[in-house]
Amino acid sequence: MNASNKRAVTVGIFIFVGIAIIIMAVLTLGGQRKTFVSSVQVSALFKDINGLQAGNNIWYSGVKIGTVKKIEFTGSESVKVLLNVQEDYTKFIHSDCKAKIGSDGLIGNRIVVLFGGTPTAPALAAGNVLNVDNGISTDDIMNTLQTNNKNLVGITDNLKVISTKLASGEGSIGKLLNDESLYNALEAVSQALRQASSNTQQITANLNNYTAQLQKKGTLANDLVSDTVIFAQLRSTVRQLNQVASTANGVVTDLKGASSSVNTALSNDSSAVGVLLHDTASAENLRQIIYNLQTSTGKLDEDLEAAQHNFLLRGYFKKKAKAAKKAADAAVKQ
Amino acid sequence: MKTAKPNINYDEIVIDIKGLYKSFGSNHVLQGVDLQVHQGENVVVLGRSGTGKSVLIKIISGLLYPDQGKVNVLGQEVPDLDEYALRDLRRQIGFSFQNSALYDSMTVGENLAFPLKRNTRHLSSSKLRKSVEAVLEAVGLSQTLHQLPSELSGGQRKRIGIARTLIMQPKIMLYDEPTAGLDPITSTDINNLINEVQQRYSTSAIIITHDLTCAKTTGDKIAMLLNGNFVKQGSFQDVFNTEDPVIHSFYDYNFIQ
Amino acid sequence: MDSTNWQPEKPVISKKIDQFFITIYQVFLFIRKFFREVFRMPFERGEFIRQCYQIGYRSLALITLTGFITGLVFTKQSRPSLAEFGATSWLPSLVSIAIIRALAPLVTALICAGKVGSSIGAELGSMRVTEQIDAMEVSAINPFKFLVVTRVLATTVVVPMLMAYTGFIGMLGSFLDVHLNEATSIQTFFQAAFEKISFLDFGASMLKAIVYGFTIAMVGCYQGWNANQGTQGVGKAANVAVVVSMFFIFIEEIIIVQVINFFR
Repeated sequence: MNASNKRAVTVGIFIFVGIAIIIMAVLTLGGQRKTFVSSVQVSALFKDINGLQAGNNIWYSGVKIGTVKKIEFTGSESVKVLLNVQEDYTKFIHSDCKAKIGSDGLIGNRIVVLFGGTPTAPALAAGNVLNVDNGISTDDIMNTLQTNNKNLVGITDNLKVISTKLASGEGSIGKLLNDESLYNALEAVSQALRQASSNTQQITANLNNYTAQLQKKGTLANDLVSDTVIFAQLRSTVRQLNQVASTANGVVTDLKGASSSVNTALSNDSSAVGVLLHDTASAENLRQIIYNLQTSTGKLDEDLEAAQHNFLLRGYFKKKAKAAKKAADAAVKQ
Repeated sequence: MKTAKPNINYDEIVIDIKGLYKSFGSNHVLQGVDLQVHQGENVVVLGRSGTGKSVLIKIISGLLYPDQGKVNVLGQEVPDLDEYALRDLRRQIGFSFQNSALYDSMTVGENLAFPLKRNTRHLSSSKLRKSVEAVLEAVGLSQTLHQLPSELSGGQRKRIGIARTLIMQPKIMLYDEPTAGLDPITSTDINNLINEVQQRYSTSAIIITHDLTCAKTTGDKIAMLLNGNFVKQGSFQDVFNTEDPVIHSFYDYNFIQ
Repeated sequence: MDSTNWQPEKPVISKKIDQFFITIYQVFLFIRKFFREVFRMPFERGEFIRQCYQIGYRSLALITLTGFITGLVFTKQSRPSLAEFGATSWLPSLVSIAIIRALAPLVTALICAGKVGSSIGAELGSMRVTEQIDAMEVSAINPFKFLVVTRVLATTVVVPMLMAYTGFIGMLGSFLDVHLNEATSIQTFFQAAFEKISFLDFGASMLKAIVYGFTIAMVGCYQGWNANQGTQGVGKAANVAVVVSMFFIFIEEIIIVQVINFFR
């Protein structure tokens, strides 16, 4: 009885210790992954490891090649990171490659990224100290984003100022958009031009009449025609009149074109910057043009007035007035 | 009282126990017990509770191992038997438990069929049913075939428990306190049943009890177990016609009850 | 041998510590016996199927309720922290990983430890104290094979099935919450959920469930089989079966997770 009891206890202890060892082995080995893979230990000195921890992964070209073994301070702002790189991979990684801290996602785990390395350099070996590249970390990304944000705010501020100025009529575009007097002037010009052209029409009609009477002998006009000098003068006057009219026409067309192109330019967003580049001088030019037009039409009017009072034509005009009166009288008598 | 049967050799020893020791820790229940049971004989083991009466028959049936001593049943040394030989031997032993030990989850019929089905290969269902009905009829409880053990009375359960052992047609019956917890009338019924079984199935039996009526009715031989030893063996009259105060105290106590 | 020259046994270390190691030894013998008996013919097929039905079907209602609520509540509670990142669309995959990898096996095992483990402990315990096991023994039936082997096998087979069922029900619970909040369709939900689940995850959970099932039944059977006399022993067997099997389930959880991590 005693002997069998002893045996039971012994076997019990044996089983207990065996199970305890197995459990402890599993728990300790489970903590460090890939314990059975032989690895090469290299190190790198970082200023800032951004929360890297022992056990984090090491990537090379996006492939996991090992884990961080240990992290220790070697001085102020100097952290030594020991890296366990699996031996199978070391032949593909060159000793002059660089290490940097990265993450496997925006809010993912910290990882050590190895990159670069010249093909002629020897393969990674135990004890190598890797160069460190303080590359873009998420903090850097955040900083850049912050700068971007500030810039964007500046741009939108400027845009706001520009649009305010446009609305309040500053600058050439603003003036063009907002100047009522310019519009009125344009209206007046076209009015005057219409007047001038109708006058011109009347004159040419009269001239036609006149030339028809020139063929009749015994009339003053016929006499006049024999005087070739006067006739030539008359002809050139008419030609000049024609020219003036056509020029006026052209100006009106140009104006129409200009205004329509301004219209399209304004409605077209892409050319907005171009429009913005226009200076006040162009507006001034435009005004000058319009002013010139006004004066030129005024002069045309004067010319035509002068033509009426020309002594050569006075008689004709008088006769015409008489004939008109006679006709009027006759009409009254009837 | 009991008629001798010609096919039974009353001289043949079916159970032969010599110098049996058994202890549980510091409690030495059996200390050098000797007992012989002849074929066709009902031996009553009398004793107070906790004196190791049940341990004796549990050792005989191989449920417990003796610390020391020889236990020869039907010519086989029980403690030396391997699993299979022990099982073969057990098919010839019927064990009636104190609390009947009917399988709660099975009906009476299933309880009875259970040992037979598992110990006999290629048993047709009609044969099985016939055997079940036969033993049920033998204990006089044919109507309970489809009832659950929980629906039966204590006496009925005991009968079914005996019937379940009889279905294997054992050569030896071991009764553990057959009348414990039963009223006198039911006890008498059970005592009669034990005798009936002995007659009908020609069994030898060990009956563990502290009930003197039971001992007197069923026992061909009485063995008195006291302090881990049989102090007296013989017929009922032999055992109690003695001046031994220990035996008498037991006797008196029982009858006062 | 006489009572006078009997001397108290000399304990190897001390009585209590001895008892502890003896228990370990007995458990070892019990498990060894199971593996011996399990490969021995004949196989108790009828009893095995009956036990599968008992263990599986009877636990189904409880498992359904628990699994569904687990999935629903887990999703509900995870939502706020994911919503902080605006990542509620990750809920299906997050929940599926949590359910398949951890919750389904664990919840199933704990429920079964409570329901199946205790019932096995109580059943075998009461059979032990009412001598039904002895009765089988003496009627030349192998009670270990009939009672223990069938129950252990049935539980080992059924718990993984229940685990898969719990996982599915848990996902349904999770889907309900996701659907109510994000109006996600069932196809989208399950597509997102299964995207992150690898076969290893499912296999590992199956392995866990098998181990848990075996543990639950083994502990229950051991406690019931070795129940002390008396009705108190039955209650104790049932109680200890639950406590001990839950304890072992958590220990095994740690170990299996660590072992699986080697392969991940």
